[in-house]
Amino acid sequence: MIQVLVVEDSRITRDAIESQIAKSEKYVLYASIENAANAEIACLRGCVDLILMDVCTADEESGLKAAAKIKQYNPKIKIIIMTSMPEHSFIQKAKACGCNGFWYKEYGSTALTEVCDRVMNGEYVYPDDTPLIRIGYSNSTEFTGREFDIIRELAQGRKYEEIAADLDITPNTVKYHIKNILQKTGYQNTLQLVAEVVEKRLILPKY
Amino acid sequence: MLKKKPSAKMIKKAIDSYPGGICFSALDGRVVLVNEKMNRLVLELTGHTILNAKAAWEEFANFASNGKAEKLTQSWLPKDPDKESIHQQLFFRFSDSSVWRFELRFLDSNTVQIEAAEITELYRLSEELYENTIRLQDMQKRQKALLDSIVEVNLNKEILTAKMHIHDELGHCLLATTKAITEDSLAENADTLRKSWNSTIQDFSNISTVWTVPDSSLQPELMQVAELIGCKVVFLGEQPKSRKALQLLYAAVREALTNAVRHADATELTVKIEQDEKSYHIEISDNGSVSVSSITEGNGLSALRQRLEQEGASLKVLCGNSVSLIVNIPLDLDEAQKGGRK
Repeated sequence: MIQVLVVEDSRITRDAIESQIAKSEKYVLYASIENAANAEIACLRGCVDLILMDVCTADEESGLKAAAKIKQYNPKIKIIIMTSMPEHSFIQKAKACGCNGFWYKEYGSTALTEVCDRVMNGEYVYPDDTPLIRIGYSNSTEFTGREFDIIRELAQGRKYEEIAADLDITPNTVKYHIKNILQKTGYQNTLQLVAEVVEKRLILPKY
Repeated sequence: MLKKKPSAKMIKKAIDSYPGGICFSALDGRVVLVNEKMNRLVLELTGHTILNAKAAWEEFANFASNGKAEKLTQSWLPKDPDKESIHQQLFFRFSDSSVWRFELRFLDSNTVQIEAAEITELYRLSEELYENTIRLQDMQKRQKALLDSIVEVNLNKEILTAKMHIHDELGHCLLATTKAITEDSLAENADTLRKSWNSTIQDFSNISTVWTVPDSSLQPELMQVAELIGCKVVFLGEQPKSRKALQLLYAAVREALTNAVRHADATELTVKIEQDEKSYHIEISDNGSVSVSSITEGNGLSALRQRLEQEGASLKVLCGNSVSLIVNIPLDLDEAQKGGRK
């Protein structure tokens, strides 16, 4: 039997996943926790085969950071990242941590059990892209990586000079990118832009 | 070529044509040269023309509104930061709504200049800028609050979705059953109806916990995972009350627990918490079998140290028969505390 650790702070989702595991003949629940920071401890004795890991967990602990630490010491443990947030960088971060799969709770048509089966068969299962989110007149796919970097900095309340220093570019380049972003989206100012981006969970700087 | 030396009359005429007010005086305030504009401004402010520059400046500094002009003290006034430390500046709004900046500067060891410049437009723009800055700061605060609670908002959204789902399912079952009863087709639809009701009841049992508030305590889950890996965690002393201090404490306990089990095969971890008027003193030790004289901090300990120091707490690692962590968390973290999951 495949031992599964569920890391999920939404009780509804956790109950639904536990109920699917209980019905399965292949999987058995090892433990179910709501804080990603405890996941590494749960894996210390090497009894876990598969982790279903939420990104935004209890106490603002990041499932992605926890996954990176677990993979460092236990590369054999398979990890599937689950999220209901369309945050554009999550897939990329999950891949960088070496996670084996990624599943959107609210988008896409693939069932979680199917992703689990394929991952346990050695596949890396990732959605093709992040969900399409409308930001002003623009789609989320129309932003460049650098533009996302700048919106992320703005969402953290950084000033133009601080953004320039963080990204190692000049303040004029920051202004140039912001002008382009505002032109694409049709917003009057960066506050409107950031409010929309955060409200639609396209950027979550803490995770 | 001979250059004609300007006469006193020419100089006076020249400074009278200057659009601002200007006055040159000796150090004791004796007026050497003053233009008409300055005299007119001073007349409106003090009721007399400038007789002694030093006394006039003191009058400006202690000026109380006289119905004709008011002294402006608002912090957004457009001061020149480079000059501010060298020159003294005062601001007045006159009866015609014009705003003037009076600036006192020492030209040399015996000459003082008072200059008045109209800054009405600059003042209006600065006022607007100040108001906009305040509004932006407020919006930024609200945006930060939204960012802090976004995960919680999402959880609430999920709960609402589950409630709506149950509501829809229940409504569907009731409608189907009512239809079957009124159309007298209960027997032939019995199987379908039973399945629908069973599925709805199953959904109910799956989300039975939706209506309860999630447990915000950090301890039970840590104890649960510690038990899973066969290591008992014993807490001695009273734990901090604030969420932030608790989060730091548990981050340290997690790191110690991970290292104790991974490197020393420990089966028990003791967390001793003491408190004085300034801070919590926490000692985390284990019964592991490894004795070390020194350790090289890996990613885990370094990250913990960084997190603690960012919040004003500190970390010390003691080596000996086993490795102990000494953590100091200031009490005033409580002030900054702002809940995690409630």
